[in-house]
Amino acid sequence: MPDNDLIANKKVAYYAGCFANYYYPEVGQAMVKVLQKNGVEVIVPDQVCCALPMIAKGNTRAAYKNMKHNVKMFSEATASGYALITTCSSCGLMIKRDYPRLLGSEEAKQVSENLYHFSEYLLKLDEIGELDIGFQPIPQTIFYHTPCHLRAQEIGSPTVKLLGLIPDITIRHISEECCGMGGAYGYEKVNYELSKDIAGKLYAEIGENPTDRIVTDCGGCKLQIEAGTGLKVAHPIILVKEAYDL
Amino acid sequence: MSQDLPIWIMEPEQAQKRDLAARNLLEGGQKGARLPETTSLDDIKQQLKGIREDAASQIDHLTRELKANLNQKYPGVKVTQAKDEAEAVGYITRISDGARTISINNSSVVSQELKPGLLASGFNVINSYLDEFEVKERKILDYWDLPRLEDKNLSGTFDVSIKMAGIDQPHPTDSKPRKYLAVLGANAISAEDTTAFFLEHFSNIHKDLKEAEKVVIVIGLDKIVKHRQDAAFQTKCMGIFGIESILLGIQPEPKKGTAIAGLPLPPTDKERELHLVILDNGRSKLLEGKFRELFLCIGCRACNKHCPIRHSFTNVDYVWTPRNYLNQFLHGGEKSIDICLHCEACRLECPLQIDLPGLMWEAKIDYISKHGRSFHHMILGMPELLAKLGTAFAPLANWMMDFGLVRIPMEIIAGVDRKTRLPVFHFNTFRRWFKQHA
Repeated sequence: MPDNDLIANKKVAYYAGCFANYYYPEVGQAMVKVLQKNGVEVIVPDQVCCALPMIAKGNTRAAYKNMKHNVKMFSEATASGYALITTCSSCGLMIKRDYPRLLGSEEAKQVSENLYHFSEYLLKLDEIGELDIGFQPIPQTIFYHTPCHLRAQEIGSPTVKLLGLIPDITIRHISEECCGMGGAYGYEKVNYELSKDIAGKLYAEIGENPTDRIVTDCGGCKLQIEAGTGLKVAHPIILVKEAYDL
Repeated sequence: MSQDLPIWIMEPEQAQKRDLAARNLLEGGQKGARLPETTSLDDIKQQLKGIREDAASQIDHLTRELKANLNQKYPGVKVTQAKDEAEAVGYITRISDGARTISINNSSVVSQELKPGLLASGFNVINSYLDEFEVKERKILDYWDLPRLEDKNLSGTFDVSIKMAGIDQPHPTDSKPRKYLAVLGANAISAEDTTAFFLEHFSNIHKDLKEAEKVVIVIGLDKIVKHRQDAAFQTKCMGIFGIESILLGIQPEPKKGTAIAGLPLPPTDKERELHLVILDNGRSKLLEGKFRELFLCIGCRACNKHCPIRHSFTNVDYVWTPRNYLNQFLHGGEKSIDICLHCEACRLECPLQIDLPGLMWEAKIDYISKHGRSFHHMILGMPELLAKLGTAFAPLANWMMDFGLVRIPMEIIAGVDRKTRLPVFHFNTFRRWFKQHA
C-alpha cells in the first residue's frame, strides 16, 4: 500500500517524462507552479526516459538500464519522504505497473506504490484539506479525452474530478475512445493508416461535441488529436494553472 | 459398448423459463418465484479464478483421472491424447474413412489450432455456426453500443438446456446422419464424471452432434476441471463474459459453406462413432514458464471487445482476439506482435485479469533476443537520444521536420511516415528551466 504519510509531507519528486521535458515544457512549468502555490516542496531528480517506448521498439537492454536508473533516483526520494508524481499517463502506467513486474525489486515496488498521477495527488491533497481551492472561474466547456494508459491505471477519473473543482468549468463530454497513437506507433509507416482509422471514432466524437477546449493528460493523444482535427489540445495542468491565475 | 458420454449444452437462458418464474411470482407470491440468486460480477470472477487456478495446479492428475474414468465408464468412446495439432489432425485423418467434409464449431481449439492442418490435409472445412443465421447489416458497431453487464442475476443468463447421453445410435429419430465429421472443441469437461460441456448460441453444435457420422470432441488440456459443477460454471462464464464479443462479431458473411443436408447418407448398418481427443499443443509447456497465465484463459474473448485494432482483423483465418493473436505468435503463425497498441483494454476486460499486455511484452523480448530488431526499430528505440538531438538544434530541427526532402529519407531510414505531424522540439527544456528557477 502507498505510504499516505508522504502526501501529508507536502514534498514531491516530479517525474516529467520526455514529453513534458522536450516537447511541452509548459506542462512541467505549470506543474511546478501549481505545487508551489499549494506550499509543496518540489524536486526534479535526475531522470531518463521511462523506457516504455524503448521496450515497444525492442531496445530491451537500454530499457532495463533506464528503469533501474529511475528506480534508484526515485526510491531515494521516497526514502527522504517525497511522494512521486507524473503528468504523463503513459510514464505513470509504466512505472506503476511494469517496473515492479519487469525489475522485481523492492525499490521498484516502493517507487510504484508511491507514484501518483498529478491529478490523483492534488485530489489527495484536497482530501486532507491541503489543496488551495481558491480557483478563478473558467467559464468554458471541455471535451475531455481519457488516455488509455490513465484508464489502465484503474484509479477512476481523477482529472475530471480535479477540473470539476474549478468554478464555471463544464465538462461537456468525456471520451474513452483510443486515439490510436500508442507512442511512436502511429508515426510508423506500417501503422499510419490503421492508427488514423482507430482515431476516426474519436475525431467523430469531437466533431459531434464541439466545446471551447479539448483536454487530455497524454502527449501522444494530444498530438494525434491536433493532427487529425486541426484543433488545439491542452494538458489539464495548464487549466489548473490558469485557474490559479499563475 | 457404452458410448453414453454425458454431453451437456448450455444456451442463453430460455424465455419460457423467465416467463415461468414470472408466473410463479404472480401466482404464488414472492415465495413461489424461483428467480436466480443474485450474484455479483466480482463473486463470479473470484469463483472462476479459483476453478482455473485449481485446474492449473493439478492438470496432470486431472488428465489421468479423466482418461481413467472415460475408459472405465464409456469404453465405446474412442479416446486419444495428442501432443500437438499435427498428431490430432493425423488422428482425424485416419478415422475419416473417406469423408471429406468436416464441420467445426467456433471454438479456438478447432478454428485456430486444427483448421489449418485439416485444410492442408485436403478436407473441406465448414463452420456451420456462420450458416445459422443471415445478417444483412451490422447492428452493433462498437464497444460503446453494447449493453453493459449488469451486476445482478448474471449466473441465470446461461443454463444447461440440452442433456445428451452420447450420440444417438444408429439413427436419431428427428434427423438423418450424413457422411461428414463434426470436430467440436468443448468448453469444459469434468475429470470426475466426464461430462463434456458446450456453449451454444444457436443450434450448430447440437445439429452436428445429431447428424455427423463421426463426432470428434476436442478437449484442450486447459478445459479439464475437477467437478461437473466447475465445468458448468466455467462454460457459463464463457457465455456471460463472451456475449458482448459475440454481439460485436455478428456481421454479414458473404460466403456460405457446404450445406450439410446436401451430403450423402452413410451406410445404414454402420454405427456412428464418438471420439474424444485430449489436445496438449503447448498448453502443458505454458504452465512451466512465464506464459502460465494463458493456461487460465477460458477463451471467452472478452479481451476483444474494447481492443482498438480488432476491426482490422476481420479477414484472418482464425477468430481474432488479442489472446489468439498472442497464441498465433507463440506458435509461429504470426510473424510479428507489433500490431498491438498496448492500450491495456484487454487486461481490464478479462474476467481473470490475465495480463495480456505484459505477456505481449515478454513475447516480444524473447523474440528480439533470438532474432534481433528491424533497423527502423533500432532508431525509434532511442527516443530520448532523438529528443536530445532535436532540442539541441531546435529551430533548425523543427524547420527540417516540415521539409519534404528530409521526411522522405526519414521515412526510408526510420520508418516514420512522411505524412505524420511530428512534435515541436523546445531548446529550453523543462529541466533546464527548472534548474534556472529552482
